[in-house]
Amino acid sequence: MTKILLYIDPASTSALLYIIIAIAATLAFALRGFFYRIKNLIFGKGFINTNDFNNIDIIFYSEGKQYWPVFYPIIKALEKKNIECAYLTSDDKDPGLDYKSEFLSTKFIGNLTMTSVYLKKLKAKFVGMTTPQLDVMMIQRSKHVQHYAHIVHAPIDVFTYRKFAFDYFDSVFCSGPHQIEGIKKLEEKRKTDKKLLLETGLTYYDVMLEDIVKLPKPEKHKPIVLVAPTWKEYSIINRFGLKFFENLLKDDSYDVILRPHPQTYVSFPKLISEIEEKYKDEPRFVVDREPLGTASMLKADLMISDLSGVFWDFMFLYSKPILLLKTDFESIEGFEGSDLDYEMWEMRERSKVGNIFDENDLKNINKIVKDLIETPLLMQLEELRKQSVFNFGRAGETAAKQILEIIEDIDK
Amino acid sequence: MNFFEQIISPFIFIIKQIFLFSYELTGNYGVAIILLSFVVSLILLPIFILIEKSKKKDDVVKKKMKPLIDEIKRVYKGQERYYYLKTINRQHNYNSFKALIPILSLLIQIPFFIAAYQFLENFEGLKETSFLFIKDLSLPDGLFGDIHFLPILMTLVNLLTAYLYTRNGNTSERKQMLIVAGAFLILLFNLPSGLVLYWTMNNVFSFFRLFITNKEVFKANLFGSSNFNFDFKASYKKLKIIFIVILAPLLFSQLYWAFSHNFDDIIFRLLIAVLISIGLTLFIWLIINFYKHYKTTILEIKVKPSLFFSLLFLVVYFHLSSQFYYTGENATLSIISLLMLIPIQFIGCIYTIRAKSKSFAYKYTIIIYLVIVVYQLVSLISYINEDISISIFKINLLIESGSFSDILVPGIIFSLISSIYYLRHNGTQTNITARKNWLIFSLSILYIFGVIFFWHPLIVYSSFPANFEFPAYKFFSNNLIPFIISIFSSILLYKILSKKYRINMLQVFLWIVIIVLLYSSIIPFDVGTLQVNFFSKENNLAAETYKYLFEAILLIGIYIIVIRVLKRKYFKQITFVLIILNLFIISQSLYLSVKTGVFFSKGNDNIKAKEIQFSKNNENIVFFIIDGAQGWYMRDIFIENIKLNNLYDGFVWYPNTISTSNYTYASVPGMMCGSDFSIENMNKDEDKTITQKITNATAKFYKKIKDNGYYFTGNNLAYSNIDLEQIDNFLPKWENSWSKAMGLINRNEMWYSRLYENAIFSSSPLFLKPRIYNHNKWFEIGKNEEKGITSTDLLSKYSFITILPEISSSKSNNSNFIYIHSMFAHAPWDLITEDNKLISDVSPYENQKQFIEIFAKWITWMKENEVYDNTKIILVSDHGPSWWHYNKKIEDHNMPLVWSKDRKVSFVEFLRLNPLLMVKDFNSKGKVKEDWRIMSNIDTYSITFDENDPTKNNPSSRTVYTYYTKWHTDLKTRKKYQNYFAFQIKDNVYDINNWKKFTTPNDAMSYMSKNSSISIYDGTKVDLDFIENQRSSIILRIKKNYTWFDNIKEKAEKRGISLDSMLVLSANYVIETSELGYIKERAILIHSIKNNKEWLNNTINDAESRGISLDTMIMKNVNYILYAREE
Repeated sequence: MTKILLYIDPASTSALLYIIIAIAATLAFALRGFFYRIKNLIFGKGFINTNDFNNIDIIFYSEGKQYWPVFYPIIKALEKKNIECAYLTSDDKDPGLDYKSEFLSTKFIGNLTMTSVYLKKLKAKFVGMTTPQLDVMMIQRSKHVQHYAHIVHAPIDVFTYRKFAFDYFDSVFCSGPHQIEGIKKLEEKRKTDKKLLLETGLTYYDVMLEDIVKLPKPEKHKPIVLVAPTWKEYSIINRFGLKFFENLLKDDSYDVILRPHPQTYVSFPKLISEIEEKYKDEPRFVVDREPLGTASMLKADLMISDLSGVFWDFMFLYSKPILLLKTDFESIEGFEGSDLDYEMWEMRERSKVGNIFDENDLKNINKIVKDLIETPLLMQLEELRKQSVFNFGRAGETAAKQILEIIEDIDK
Repeated sequence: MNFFEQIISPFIFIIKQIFLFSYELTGNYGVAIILLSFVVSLILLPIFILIEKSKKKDDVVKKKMKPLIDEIKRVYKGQERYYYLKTINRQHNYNSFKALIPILSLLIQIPFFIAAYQFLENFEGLKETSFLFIKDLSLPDGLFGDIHFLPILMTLVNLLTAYLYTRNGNTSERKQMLIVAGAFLILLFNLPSGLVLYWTMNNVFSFFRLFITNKEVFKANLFGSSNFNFDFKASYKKLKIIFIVILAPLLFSQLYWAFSHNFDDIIFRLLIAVLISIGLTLFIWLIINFYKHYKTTILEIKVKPSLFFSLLFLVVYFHLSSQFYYTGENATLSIISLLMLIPIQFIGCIYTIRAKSKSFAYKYTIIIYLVIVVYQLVSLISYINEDISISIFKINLLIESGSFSDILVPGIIFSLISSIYYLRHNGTQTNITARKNWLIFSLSILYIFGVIFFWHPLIVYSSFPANFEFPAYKFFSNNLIPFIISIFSSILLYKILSKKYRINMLQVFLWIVIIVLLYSSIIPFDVGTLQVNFFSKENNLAAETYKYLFEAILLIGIYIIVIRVLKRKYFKQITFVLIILNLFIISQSLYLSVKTGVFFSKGNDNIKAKEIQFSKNNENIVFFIIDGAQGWYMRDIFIENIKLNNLYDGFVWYPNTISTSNYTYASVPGMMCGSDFSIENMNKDEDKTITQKITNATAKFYKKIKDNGYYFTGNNLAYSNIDLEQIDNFLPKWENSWSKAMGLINRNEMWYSRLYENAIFSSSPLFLKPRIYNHNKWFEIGKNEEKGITSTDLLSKYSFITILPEISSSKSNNSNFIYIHSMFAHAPWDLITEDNKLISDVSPYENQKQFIEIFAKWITWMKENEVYDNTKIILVSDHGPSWWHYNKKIEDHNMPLVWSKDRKVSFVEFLRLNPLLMVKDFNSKGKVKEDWRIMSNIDTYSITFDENDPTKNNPSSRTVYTYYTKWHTDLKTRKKYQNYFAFQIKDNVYDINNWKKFTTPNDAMSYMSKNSSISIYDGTKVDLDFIENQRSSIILRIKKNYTWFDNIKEKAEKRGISLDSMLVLSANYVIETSELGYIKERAILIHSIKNNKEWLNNTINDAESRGISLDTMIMKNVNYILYAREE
């Protein structure tokens, strides 16, 4: 006879199995956290002394050199007020590191893993960053920081941010009213703490506006088409790949500049290198990898984009025609949009901005582009800008003021 | 008591109290079990309510989180996914650790279940107690033969609970509950029905618990929507047609019958026909309505491919395992297959109906289905009713009694056809195309065929190279061609398959790789050693059903893992593992072959050591124990075969011989070493265990032989732990080379292929093994033909005597001592024929005669090799035959037995003590003589070593002793033999009047137990009164319990004794099996010590020498005896 030590009837067994599974899952979950922590510790090369900025209240953290234009206007405005601050970056090529000022200390704090360890130990009253998902992903809140602020770096809606992008910040420096609306809705749904939602605007517009003025007027040349896709799965590059450029270049009445999103090089390196490889000897095709797109945008006569925030820049700053890929925003899973049940701002306003094309137009894209360059549409863009972007051209000052108010509040 | 028992014991106590109280209350064990189950459920109820509450709370949160979690799981992987899941938990205040705290209280119920199991399993009261339809609560109910009802009932209850409990979603929990229900059906299937009753009731109560904890599950309608359409009028027309269609043939058949026979009950018959027609019509109408109503629901049933194909696999698996079963078709396995067939055919039907095509093939399929189902139904009916004969218009159709195959095989065909429609509906599986498939495939076939043709054979070869007469490379080169053919045909098949099916083939091959790995090196399955064409323990192939169940699940599990691993594209990892596997098996087998050095040169086969050596010049002694031979038979054997008289030249037969004991382990020490190792003397030593004593005897015996300058050759030093390494020449039970010598096996070529056949055999799952090998046959279904002697056990028992001349040599220069202990004459008794076939179940006489005849051949060899005269041969048995193993009449062969008035021993006991003793001294000549001087088999020591040899010293009168001991299985821990009785016998063992009872103190206990009807007095009286009271209260209780009482009445009738005495017997049984038994035995023992003068004196002496009171000493002795018996 088989000897059984245990018997439990199915109902209780399922309860028991439930315990066992729960224990196992919990352990696995905990162990996983532990594993990642150790992994981070190893790749983070241990703890780093964080007493570098002991007396500085305001610290900015930048993930990469492309965000320097976001911080620069704020830092400059603070500098004007003789207020000291610090700038940390995970990018050793960050131009911020070369910025000389007695009011600004800068430091390169290593790769993302090292950064997360470093930031966990940070001491400050205010930390501002462009990186979303504080306390969700690797960057955790430090106990010694009173206030964390997310500084928005694109005019886009919150839909296309990854999950929980803002939930654990104390404040968000918003670019426009649609962001405030979205974040409030998310707070309501998730019952997370209410954040300070500030009407700030886009600080890098300050820089860009200055740049545009400084830049020499381009000489008259062949029309230029600027292709500025986003990096995500639904982008022009990801959906059409090489084919798009093949078709686009069929017409030689214009030249093409491709300005890929910096993240494309991280997320889809194969795809982008394939394109670069193919056209490395094509004089009509240039890839722009400058941190600021001002020069390319200035040169361009038409922009082709998808859901990238960049076309707003093009529109707000230069008021030139835009051709957009039709994007049904179904593939929102895993992004903040899946928790929001209204039409996102970009979708609402897209039609006001420029022409739309879809997959079926892929073959004739060259014709569409040519037509658009030849007969641009007239649009009420000034109005739209006023509605969508706070403090156009003076967002840096505003942000600095808001930071100081926050610190004042803390000091109270 | 170990830690586990310590924890469990209080729970056992609680369970015991509840159970005994319930029994007091009801007087019925069945009801008591149900009550016990109820009370335990009641005790645990509050805990369950708590758990359910906390679970519901959790469920709400989980339900909320589920879509979010699913979304994250769909989109993200790895670290990112982990961070998001963590955040979701955080936002819902859900901490998986926190969730554990209330559930921990759940753990409290586990000990109750273990306790109930342990208590009920060991509870004697359930034995032979019937309850409702259960005949014996201590056995499985066996209501339908091999199929037990209670476990099925339990499963049904569980399924209902699972259905209700999980109907509001929660499919993961449903899966769990189904798995658990299935597991317990298997686990509990063969357990005592009392236990299963307990569990079944537990499940019934847990079903009722739902009313308290989960009321909501009953609120919704049980079958979905409730508006079942019973509109009779609407279908009236159709019904009329159905009714007429059924009625017509029924009426016709009755009339037809009446015309051809008689019109006696014609009205009644017609009425029955009409009634049956109405009943059938209603039944059909119900089915049609039911189908109409649930048509959409039923047709929407969706079955996952994993379930569909698992079921299909299970049907085929159990059918094949039944067909291939070692001892022929196995009904239980067929029934399991049948049970699986029902749902798969049903599902197949649904998917076929859903396919709804107008194609010719589809219509054809439907017709095939109908034919198959009708065939199955007829087979099923004919299986139940045996032969069916139908006569239509004088044409007689006979349908022979169906077998399970008749139902199963068409069903399998049905399911295979329907799987086409199933696949059409579900689409084919995702194509996985990867460049690395080829590498994986090559590595897989390299492993599979490598193991089969080279590596496994090489390991087998290296593990006993002495068996082979060829170096390993020979079978290597022999197997090279089949290996290459297998590899190439697999590659060819893979190549010609379309890409779609390639992945399936890859799955199958990876599956086989894992199976081969598991079965050839991880899962142990003992069929004994390979003896060229058979296995020594092949009976193990007849495995229990549960093993098949586990294996089926295992095989499916492996396949699912393979599919998943491939789907996730772990190609690198698979490749890596396969390379490791290949390297490992290659290096392992090569290492072994290098270590044993067998690859190019044959292993070292020390044939010489397996010889029995005789010397022509020096003395030889053959000490031959023929276990269990009857002494008295020799007269008839020598009369029946007169030639033997001459062959046994110089032998003296001592018919007047008693055995010193009735068991080998009690006699052999004395036979080896004389009276120093008589039972009485061995029992004096209280420090050593019996095994140690036997080992000492063997050692002493061996030392004596060596001291006398003999070279020792021997076998089977039974029950001894002596170090066999230090013995000059120890013969094995059986040798492969002996099989060769007997012409049982010879061809090397057979070995070449046998080695890979064996590799396939050992790499195969259990259900295929008997298909590969069965009763000496490889790769054919084994029909149970005439069976030659195959197993090592039988060979060593019978053929060992035959082989003796073949393995004897006369070239030795030493004096030789040959000790052989043969089991030839031991029960069960068989004969072996010339061509080595076995005739089973002959009489002990026939068997013994054959032994004497075969042994004569060895004598002839000795004579031919001139070693007979200088050899002393002692042919002796350690005890007589165990006649109780013989189910025909006991043969007495005119035994000159004289019974005394008080029959001191039974006939069987006497025969057991009547051993064989024949001695041929050096240079003794002439026909066999009878010598009627009294002997004991313990005299063999004196005879062997010529010390006070009673055959030579000619004592006129002598007393010998015999001890009838109990059967002990604990020789390794036991220190004393326990005797039923002991006698001293004077002059003639066949005259029982000469037997005088001989009692030693430690035998008194057994003496007492044989004569327990002794009146009791003084201090022990209280105990006995108590027992009397108990007995009458038990009898009263029996009388109150009708089932029990009826049971006893029945037993009394069966045994032909009065009801009253049966009641007393039953009460005694209850007393003896409960603690009261101890009290009674203690009382009797105390009494017997006080009444036996000698024993009492001994006890007084003991008490004085220890300085304790007599009463204490008596109690000490009593406890010791009781303790010893407990052992």
